[in-house]
Amino acid sequence: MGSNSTAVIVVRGVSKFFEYKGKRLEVLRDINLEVERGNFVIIVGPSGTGKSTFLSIVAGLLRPSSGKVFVDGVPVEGPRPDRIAMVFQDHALLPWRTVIKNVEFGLEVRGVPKEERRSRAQKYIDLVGLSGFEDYYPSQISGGMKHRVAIARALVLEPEVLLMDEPFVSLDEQTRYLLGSDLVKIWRRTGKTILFVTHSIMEACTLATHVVIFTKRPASVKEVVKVDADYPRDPEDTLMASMRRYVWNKLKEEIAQQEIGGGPE
Amino acid sequence: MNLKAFGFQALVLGLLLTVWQLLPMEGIVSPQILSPLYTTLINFPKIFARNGLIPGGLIPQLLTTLEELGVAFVMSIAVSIVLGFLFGYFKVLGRSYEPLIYLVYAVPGSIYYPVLFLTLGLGVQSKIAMGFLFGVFPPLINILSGFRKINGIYISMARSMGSSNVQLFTKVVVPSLAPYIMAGIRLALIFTYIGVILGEVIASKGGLGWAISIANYNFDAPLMYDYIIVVVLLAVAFLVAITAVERRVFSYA
Amino acid sequence: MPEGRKELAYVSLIQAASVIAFLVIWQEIVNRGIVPSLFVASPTQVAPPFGPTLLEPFVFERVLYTLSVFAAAFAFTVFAGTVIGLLLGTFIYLRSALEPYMIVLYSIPKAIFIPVFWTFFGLGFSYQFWFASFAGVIPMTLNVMYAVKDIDPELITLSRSLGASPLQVYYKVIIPSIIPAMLTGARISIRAVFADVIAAQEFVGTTGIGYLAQYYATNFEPVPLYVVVVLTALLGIVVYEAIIQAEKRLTRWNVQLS
Repeated sequence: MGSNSTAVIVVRGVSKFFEYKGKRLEVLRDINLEVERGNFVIIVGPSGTGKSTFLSIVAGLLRPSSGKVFVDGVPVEGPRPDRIAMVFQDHALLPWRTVIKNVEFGLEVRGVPKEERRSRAQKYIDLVGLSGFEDYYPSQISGGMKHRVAIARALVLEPEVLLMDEPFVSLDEQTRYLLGSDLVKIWRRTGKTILFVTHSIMEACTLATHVVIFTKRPASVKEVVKVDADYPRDPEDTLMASMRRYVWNKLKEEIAQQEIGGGPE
Repeated sequence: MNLKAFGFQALVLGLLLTVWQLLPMEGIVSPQILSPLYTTLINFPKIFARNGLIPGGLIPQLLTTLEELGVAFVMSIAVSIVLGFLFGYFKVLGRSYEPLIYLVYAVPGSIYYPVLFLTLGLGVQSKIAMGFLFGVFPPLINILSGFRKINGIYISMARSMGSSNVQLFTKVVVPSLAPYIMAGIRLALIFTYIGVILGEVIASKGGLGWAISIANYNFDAPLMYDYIIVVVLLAVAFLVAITAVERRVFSYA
Repeated sequence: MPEGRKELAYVSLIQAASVIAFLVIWQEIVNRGIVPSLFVASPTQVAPPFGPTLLEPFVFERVLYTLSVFAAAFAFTVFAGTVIGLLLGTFIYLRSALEPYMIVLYSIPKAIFIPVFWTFFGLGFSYQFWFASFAGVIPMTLNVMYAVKDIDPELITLSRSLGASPLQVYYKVIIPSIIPAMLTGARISIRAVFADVIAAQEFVGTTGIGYLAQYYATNFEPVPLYVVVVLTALLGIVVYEAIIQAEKRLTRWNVQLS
């Protein structure tokens, strides 16, 4: 079964359940989604709906219980970091490696020779604004800087798609904002396709070209909203504010149901 | 180092040394039991005497102990690392042997020594075996707990980068375990030393522990305390050396 | 067969096979004379006389005696270790002054003091009791001391703000907080105390399991020696398991959910 689509990421009928102590926990139900090349798509949804699970499936780290994911027309069977790279919530920098050795990690795994590794890593360290910090250890740099390293590490393999799982959740508001706008700059310079997961409606509306709203568990796609605003965006802008209100209202419908106890526990 | 803390520590040291001198000197405790500090210290050069109570003096005994310690230590490290990795990597082996390891660890180590000196005699072999039995378990248990504590997120990240199983092992598992291996080396050194000296004190033909028991049987308290001081200084030297190595290796933390 | 049960089967198989292999190898080493039979005993030699040997008064009395010294020393260790640990943990200057000495004391071979204790106490209960307690108190104290140090100061501030007197703070906040550390300390010291009672008995004297072991070894009687060793091993295991069970039951609230 081919993808029959020009979109970079095609998700068809993906469902996922987990078995735990004999009980079945259905996390994702029949997700259908298409992400066009060069878009910045952000998924928002109620807490615990399995957004991270979904991202892991797209990344090839988890297998769907049913359905298929295609990236660039090719079905996803396992991790392919030169096509889809993932940035984790917890940056996951190896503490015993310096910044540059962390960025080089993916290249090392693929057997890229030393000289080339260094120059490619350097290029992306400069891109994320960390020039000069190559030989620092993760314990010596700030939280925001660690996330930049994680981004550089993902980009260095020059994947078509960047997956980001709540990458800025552990940072304070100001750093988040700065990192968000830097991310937009990097996106526009490199032309990557980004699929990003977050809790923050503000973040979603400010950064995305499209916002995907997930339902409560078991999650499926409730709605896809196109954010038709030019970059850089002013969060105070009326369009932005109404967009946020719209998304929030949609989410409220899902959260209310979940609170009252609708859906499997 | 905190100057105030250092001051208090020095104060305590001074207090201890004073008590050490005064208690036997004033007759509160017999000098046979606690050799006064001064007497003990001026007796120090005597421990090198070749034809005193201890044949050959300090040097041969020190070398004996170091030899026993060295061999037992290397054996403990080698076995605990090999088994540790084997049991950590192959989960089935780990789950099988871990309860057995704890069972053997629960046995009071001193009961092994009579079996060892019956089979291996009073020479270095029985002490090496004793040191090994004492020194192999703590690092092994430590490495196994290190395997449990490997941060799963690093594994996920490395897998997302397309790492093979071998690469996962060399690039993530082994570096994650490095602190545990280092701690294991420290534990092996400390516990091997404890086992070796215990054997020497109970029954032996040589070594620092043996010298202590000989001096004791012959009512030569200053000599006994001199040897006790040597054992303690050696232990402190080991601690300092190991701590220095740990600091160099783990500068990234 | 579900994955879990299959693995359990493998595990039991490996364990059983290992124990059997151990016994077989042990038996063969003796049978083939790899070690002269004067110095070793095989499982088939040790098993039959196991019960009778233990029932001999010569042996039986000494086993009971050892257990009584051990019990007393362990009880004292827990008590004294907790008290000293609380003191050191509460009074910061005392702790910073004594900490390096305690750490050194913990790392040195305590066997070097056996002769000192004997010289002071002579033969008998006191000598064994005090040496074993001395060895056991150190890890117990260190564990309690560090636990007191690590108590969340906010808990204390909170209780004081709710009107608790210093004594109440001790009873209701500090002591419950240190129970896990007390159990860990007890677990570490119980091995040391049992082993050191026996070690003291091996060094000198005619009482206890240590004496029995040392006597049979020096008289080239491997069979009763092995009986005593196996018994002691079993006792050690029972005692250690008891503490681990206690630790599990009493610290249920302390489980970290990841």
